[in-house]
Amino acid sequence: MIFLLSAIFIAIIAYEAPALVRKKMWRELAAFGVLMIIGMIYSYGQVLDLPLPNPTEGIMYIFKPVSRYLEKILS
Amino acid sequence: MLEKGKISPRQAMWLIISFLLGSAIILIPSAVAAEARQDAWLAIMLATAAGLFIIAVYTSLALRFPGKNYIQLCEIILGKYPGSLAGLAFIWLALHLGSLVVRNFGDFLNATILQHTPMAAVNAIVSLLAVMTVKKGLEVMARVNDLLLPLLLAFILFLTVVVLSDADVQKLLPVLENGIRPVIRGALPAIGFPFAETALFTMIIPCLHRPGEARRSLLLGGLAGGALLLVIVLQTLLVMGPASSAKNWYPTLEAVFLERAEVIIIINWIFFGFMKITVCLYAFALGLAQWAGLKEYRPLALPAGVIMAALSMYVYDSYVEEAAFAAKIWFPYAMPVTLIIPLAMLIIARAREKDTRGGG
Repeated sequence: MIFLLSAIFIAIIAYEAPALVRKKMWRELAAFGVLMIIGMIYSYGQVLDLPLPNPTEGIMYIFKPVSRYLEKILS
Repeated sequence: MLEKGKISPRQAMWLIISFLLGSAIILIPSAVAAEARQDAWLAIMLATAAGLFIIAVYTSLALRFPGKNYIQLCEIILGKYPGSLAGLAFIWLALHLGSLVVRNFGDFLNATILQHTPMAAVNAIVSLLAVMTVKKGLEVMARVNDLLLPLLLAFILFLTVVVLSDADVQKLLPVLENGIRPVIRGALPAIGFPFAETALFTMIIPCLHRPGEARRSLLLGGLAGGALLLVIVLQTLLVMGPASSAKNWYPTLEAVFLERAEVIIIINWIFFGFMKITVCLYAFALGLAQWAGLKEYRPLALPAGVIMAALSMYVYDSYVEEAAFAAKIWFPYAMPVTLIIPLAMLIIARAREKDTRGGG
């Protein structure tokens, strides 16, 4: 699974990055790299079962009081 | 401008209809019926009215600054740092929404027809499909939608007619049994999902042939989408009654089960879900490129798709969490970016205009 995933990522980078280098689009390349790294961390994290931060949980924690308040005034 | 393609106001209207039906076609009846019971149809009408208000706010804002998308508007109106913060919140919402829809997509297919396929495979494939569409640009996206939407709407109408024989109007009674409050409670999740989410269209409005018609076509699209959701909610209520509409994960599917027409609903879901994921991915890639000052958004589509697919496996731990998030958390979470910030920007823009007129 890890090899398959790595092969996919190498293919994606080989597909996109050379054109960006050739056109000297360095900012685009940097943005591509940052997104790719985040994507790779979460993909490998899924395969290796790593406990990565889940954005949904943080959002639930922040907005639960608002949701409770809405429920209270509407019940 | 980052996007060179142009679409017609009519295409934008059709896109917003597909986007509204998106994951809502499957998930909205149970979310709304859970609170509003037999008055779920009233709740949908209320949510549509509120949704039209949200659409009116962001389209009015876009009309004041033709050719500018949400990210640019934030920087022009709110200034450099608050503006880029608001822009970042918008980009994040597009990405998060995209991965939530990918997850819904995988969950649904896993529960219905692809029971033995790992969800990761389903999610990766639909994300790849969305990436391909986004890389082709807005025009292609609109044309795919043009091709399939009429067909799928015909399917929905066909199903509605077919299930009429199982319908029972008694199931809608008594109307407003517990007053108006349960109806409002049921309408809130439906305002957040799917109506508020259409704020992603602020990235598409600048690409209309005739930007002046943006408000009219998007409002019409919102109304049509709301009407179709009303049809779907009525259909589930009339066939199954409020109790089983609220209890089932996928009441839309159960309602047509007797007619052995589930596959039609599944086809609908595959297309509308795919379209919604595509719009989210597009808004994210274009928004990020605009935010970071890039010259191209297309190279970002593929890694963005990777993030969406990977994140979709993380966003929910269980079905229960998924339903609770959609029903309770999404509304307060989506409001700041989709309504409060655009409304504040509209008020600021108006006040400034008055100022310069009065002063000059």
